[in-house]
Amino acid sequence: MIPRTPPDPRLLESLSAYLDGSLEGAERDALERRLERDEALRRELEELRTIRETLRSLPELAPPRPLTLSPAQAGTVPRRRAAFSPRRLAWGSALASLAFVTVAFLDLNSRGAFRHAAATLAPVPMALQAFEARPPDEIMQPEAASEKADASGGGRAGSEPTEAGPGSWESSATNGGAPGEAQTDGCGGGDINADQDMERCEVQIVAEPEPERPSFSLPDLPDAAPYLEAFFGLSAVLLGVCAAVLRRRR
Amino acid sequence: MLYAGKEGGGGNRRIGYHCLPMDEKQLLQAARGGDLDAFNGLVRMHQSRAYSFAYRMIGEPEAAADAAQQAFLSAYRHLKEIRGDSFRSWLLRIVANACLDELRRRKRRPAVSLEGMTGDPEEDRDADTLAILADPAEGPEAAAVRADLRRAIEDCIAQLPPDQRATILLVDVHALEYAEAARALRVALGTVKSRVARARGDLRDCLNQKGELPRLSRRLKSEAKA
Repeated sequence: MIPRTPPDPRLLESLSAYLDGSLEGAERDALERRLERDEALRRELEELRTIRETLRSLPELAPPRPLTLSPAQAGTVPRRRAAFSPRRLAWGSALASLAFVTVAFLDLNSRGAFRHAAATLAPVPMALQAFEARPPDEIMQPEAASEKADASGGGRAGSEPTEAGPGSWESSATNGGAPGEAQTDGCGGGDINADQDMERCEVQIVAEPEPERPSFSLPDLPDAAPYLEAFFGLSAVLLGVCAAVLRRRR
Repeated sequence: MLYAGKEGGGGNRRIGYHCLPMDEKQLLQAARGGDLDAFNGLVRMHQSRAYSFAYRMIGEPEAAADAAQQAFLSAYRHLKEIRGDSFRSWLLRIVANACLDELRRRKRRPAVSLEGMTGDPEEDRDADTLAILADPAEGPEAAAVRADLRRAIEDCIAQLPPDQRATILLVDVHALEYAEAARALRVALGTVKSRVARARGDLRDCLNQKGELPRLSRRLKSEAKA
């Protein structure tokens, strides 16, 4: 272990800089005045000069081998990439896994496993559900419905819809009415006979065609699906294992 | 020595190395254009310098050769980044950083001393190099003294901390300016000055401890008189 240099590193730094000619101005003048009267300091400067000259005289050493670059080292010759590198195998494994999952999903779908879930999860508007739950009487205006009920002794609850069917009670959209609102042209007065009213007033309750719901139908797979699943599953596992083994060897 | 000339005629202007000697500037220009032969010409010019620095930093011949060659490879790939500096100082900057990286990788393991190299034939090759480079005019006794002194110096250099060692090698052994060394090591100018001063002080203490400093001093004086 090298013992530490004298406790005045600032003086050592000044001497070293003076030796290299990089000490200037007042600092240089002050050091020169001190060197004139301090023999120990002069000796220290000489020792540092000896060290510097010795270092400068050190010879260059010959390397144990030529350090020139070959075209392969310099990268000017394209290196041949391994056909089965761990990275490629890992990518292959990932793709095979993806293919396996896709085939398995399609296979399950073709067997009907998802149909029930799809029907349950199909989006139905809340307003439409509420409307479908209401009986036809309530679809008409409440006052007119009650008057008609009084006049006919409760035997008729209004005109029958031309196209009956639960869940399709809607007013015609051509009249501009809101869904579920019966169109009563000019009728609805409280003292008008209900039968006349029924003749005069044409309650147009037209069933609106059911809105088209988006249907997602996946292609059915042929019977070879299990073989495809087995092929892709095994490929994924084998490629993954090979990639791991190659990576560990490298 | 490399020789350069234009091969073929007409549109073929590829530079070959047959007719005219090329200096460093021409080699550098050709190497910048991707000419590996030209770059290898630069390598031959500077490989001893790069290896010497790496060897004194790392202390192992093969590791030093690897670090120096790695530095040459890095230099080849970044030739277009030379701006202002000479190729020599730019190369030393790359070698210095490659060596410091290598030493950091070794978790600052102390460098191998040249003093203990006599048993290993591979390492003795460097001792032979020292002997070969000695003055052939001096007698065997003087050559032995010179070799002892150099071993003592190399041993003391190897004991310096890596940062100080890199700085003193750049400034004193390879004669870089303080500013060049500061750029090479990416430190402030004042840091270089203080590292050089501390390294010189430590080397003086080390050589004093070995009793070699007075011999060195006498030798330098006699050489100066001659």
